[in-house]
Amino acid sequence: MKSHKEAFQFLRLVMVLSSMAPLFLLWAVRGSSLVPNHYFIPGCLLAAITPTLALVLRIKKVKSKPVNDCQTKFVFKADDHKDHILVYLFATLLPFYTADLQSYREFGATVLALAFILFLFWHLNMHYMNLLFAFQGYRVFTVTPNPQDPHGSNTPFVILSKRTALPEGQTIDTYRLSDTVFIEK
Amino acid sequence: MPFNFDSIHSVEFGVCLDSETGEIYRIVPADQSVQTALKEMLEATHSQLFRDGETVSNFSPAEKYSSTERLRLVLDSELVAKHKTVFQSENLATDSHGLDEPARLVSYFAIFRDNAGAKLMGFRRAAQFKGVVKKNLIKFLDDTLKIVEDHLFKLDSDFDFLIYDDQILIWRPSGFIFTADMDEHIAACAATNVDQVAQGVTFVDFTRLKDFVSNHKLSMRLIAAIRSRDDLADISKRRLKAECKAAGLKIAERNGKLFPADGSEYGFLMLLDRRRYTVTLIDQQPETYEAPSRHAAPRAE
Repeated sequence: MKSHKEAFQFLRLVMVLSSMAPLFLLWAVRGSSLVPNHYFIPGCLLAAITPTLALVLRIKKVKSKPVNDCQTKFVFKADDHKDHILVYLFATLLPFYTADLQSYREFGATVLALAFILFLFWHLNMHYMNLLFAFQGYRVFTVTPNPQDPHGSNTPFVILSKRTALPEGQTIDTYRLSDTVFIEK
Repeated sequence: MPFNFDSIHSVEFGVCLDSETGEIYRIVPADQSVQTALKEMLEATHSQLFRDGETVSNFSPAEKYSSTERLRLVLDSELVAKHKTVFQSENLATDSHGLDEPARLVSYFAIFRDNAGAKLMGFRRAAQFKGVVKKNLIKFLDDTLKIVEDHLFKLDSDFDFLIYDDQILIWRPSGFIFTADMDEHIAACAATNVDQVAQGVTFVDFTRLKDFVSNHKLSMRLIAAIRSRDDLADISKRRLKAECKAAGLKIAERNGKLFPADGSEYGFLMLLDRRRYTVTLIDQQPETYEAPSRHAAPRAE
């Protein structure tokens, strides 16, 4: 049997793009001498707003009555990964923000590097890394499943919750944003 | 806390698939309309199981059942070890493509949770789904019949069995036996079951019976059913000898231990499981019968 393909390949890419929204906003503020402002600013705003809007729509959809895409998750072991946000800020946003966009070669190199980062975030299922969630008061918890469970998945998944800590050994009702990211009801 | 059928607050849909590494269980995301249909299946199964005036009997692996029954089995029973681990599993992997390969589908199931967090699982053997795919469905689109070429999943009207509150309630025994891999399990445990029965009925020599059981599928089921009895130690040697004689079974005795003679092994096991009996309504003409399906009858005192 083929190993099962993760759902929402495109949506996950959109969510990764959404996680880069602050960078696009910063670029819109900085501008670039290579591209006229009346193209560059709307382009950056579009890149920031469209994926975020898609994410908001996805959240609304899973919560809507006709869909109600919910799953009950068992918290075997949970870690609050604040450090992921710091990695995100310092390893991606800040270096890109300070990148020089004043020559075509620098601009091309920056866009290429951004493409690599987007691919890595998409490939490593880091689409939960989004300031939108932080603004809404969500914390990011990585839940490790019970390795002794013979039928349960052994892949860690992420629960976005407004709690300060997830109670281990208990179940939590969630909505499914993707196969690895869930948001608490 | 017992499962509350009146306060179900979440429903998940899943499938059991055949794979190279054995059966795997996957959650397939389903929208509200499917969740409602699954709730209706649960209601139908529950109301059929507990229809007024009907009793729920204990499941016996040696019994021949009709297509629908009202049966119960505790979740600690060895016969349902497989379903116990599935029921206790959490965080099953999500696979929205879980229905892409219908030939791999063994069964489908639903996980229900009530407001207090109590869990119930309903299982159904996936016979209809395979049939539907093979046949292709015809469906009314505008006013003409057309072949529907897409894969369609057709939910049934009820579940084969439900697991909740540390028990399994069985509505369709054939579906339950199929999904529980009961024959394989009983075959694997046959020798152990004989040893366990031998510890209960100490005046019977089961050495030869052990060889017989290991080669006889129905006897494996019988010995599994006998093992599950809790009154083995109360069996009287004198009564057993008398019943064997009355039932036309040949038994011998060596070193104080009884054992069935060649050709009487299966009948002996049937007798131990109360499935072989003799009625003598005409003088000198005893009639002996076997009861593949039987239930306890009330006695007028």
